[in-house]
Amino acid sequence: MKPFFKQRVKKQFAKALELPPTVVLDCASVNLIGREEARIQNHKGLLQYTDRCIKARSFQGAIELKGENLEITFFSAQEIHIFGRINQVMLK
Amino acid sequence: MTKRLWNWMEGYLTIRLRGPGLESFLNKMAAADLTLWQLQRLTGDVIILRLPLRQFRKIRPLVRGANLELNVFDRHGLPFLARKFKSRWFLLLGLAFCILTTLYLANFIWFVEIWGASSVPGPDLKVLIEKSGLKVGARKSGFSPKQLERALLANFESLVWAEVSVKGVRALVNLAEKAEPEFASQSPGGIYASQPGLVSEVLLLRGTALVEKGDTVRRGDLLISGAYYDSQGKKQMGRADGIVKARIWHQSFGEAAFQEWVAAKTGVRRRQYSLQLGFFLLPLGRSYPSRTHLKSEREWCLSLGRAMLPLAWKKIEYAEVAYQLISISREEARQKALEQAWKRLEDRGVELGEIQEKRVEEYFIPDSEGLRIILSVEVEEDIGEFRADP
Repeated sequence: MKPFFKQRVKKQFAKALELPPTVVLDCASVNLIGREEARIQNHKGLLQYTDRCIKARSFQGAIELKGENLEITFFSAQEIHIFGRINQVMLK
Repeated sequence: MTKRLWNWMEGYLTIRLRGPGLESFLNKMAAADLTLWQLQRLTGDVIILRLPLRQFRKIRPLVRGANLELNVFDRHGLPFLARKFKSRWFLLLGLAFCILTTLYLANFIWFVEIWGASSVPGPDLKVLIEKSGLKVGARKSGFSPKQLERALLANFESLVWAEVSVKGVRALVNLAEKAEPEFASQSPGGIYASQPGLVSEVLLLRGTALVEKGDTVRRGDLLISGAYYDSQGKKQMGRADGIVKARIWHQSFGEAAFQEWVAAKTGVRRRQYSLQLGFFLLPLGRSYPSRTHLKSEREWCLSLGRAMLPLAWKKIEYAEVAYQLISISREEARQKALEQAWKRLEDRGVELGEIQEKRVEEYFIPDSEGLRIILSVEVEEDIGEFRADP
């Protein structure tokens, strides 16, 4: 079964059963709490970490956060907590 | 907070990683189910992070293959603290003794405070309170607050309410006394003028008015008499009551010189400390005369709750000053003298809000090169003053 077909089936399945896509499709989610805090869930690894840019891989592409004095306050296989002044959030 | 506390209980390490490809190593750590926090990127090839003590063993195989340098920077938490204390039994013993002693001493009353008793004789109150078991050094369980409250109300008739409470090592006795209603004296008498003036208003409440609007009165003149005629036409003597307002002139003065000596700080500062132990004062360092130095003090008193302990630390700052003669303009001197005159009036109790008219006279003082202001104000005041008949 090709990956895009598998993904399509999963999508249809999630839609039909009204299941959260983050669980079924392994979608990444980015929660912003004001400008000072961000939480990335379901990431697939860290690509870049500096105090001005943090990039994480996800199933949908790279999630990039730009800002000042950025710091990772928590890091695990599922979640990244970022603290600092966040100016930009991008999905590449 | 709970997470932090848990991390501290479990123990955690601050480690430093140095080398290329730190991001991929972090991913490897995450894949190995390690939880990391407070990751700080110091430079391009250095990162500092925290991880739980129990997960440290998992890093070893990961580091072995990578071209990285790993250092344990710091150790935090209970396991490390416990290890430290393992070889210091006496410190632990002392700590435990200290805690136990504090807990034991907290079972006693160390301060007794009484509030709200002004008419109750202090020694009697003290005796009763001590008799019921409440005194400094007594056990908290050695007396019953409810019983003491009842005893206080039963023994002192002037009390209407009593509350005894214990807060920590402090016992508070709050008392409320009966408030005697003020009954106006019914003795016969009249309203007399307390100062001379021109009567502007008469409001008669009881008795016979002897003055009317426009009359000039002198100090001590009878304004309202207590005499009145009853329903049978018989003259009776009672207590006069009413308000008599009059216009009164008040006068005051103020003076200001055209030259003034002003203290200017030279910038040299000196400091003195002093330690107070009860009545004993121990100065540390020398003091300087107020003639050449401006003094400012700051005091720190050791206190335990509301109770002040007889130990205080004082810091005295001396700023050296040099006196300079400066000239003051006529307008400034006038303003200064006028302020002084207003202040004198206010100090005499003149209601400045009731001023009807004011007059300012200015005189030059040739000898001392200054200015004198004579300020006259007219105010409307109640001049009535009750005096009982002899």
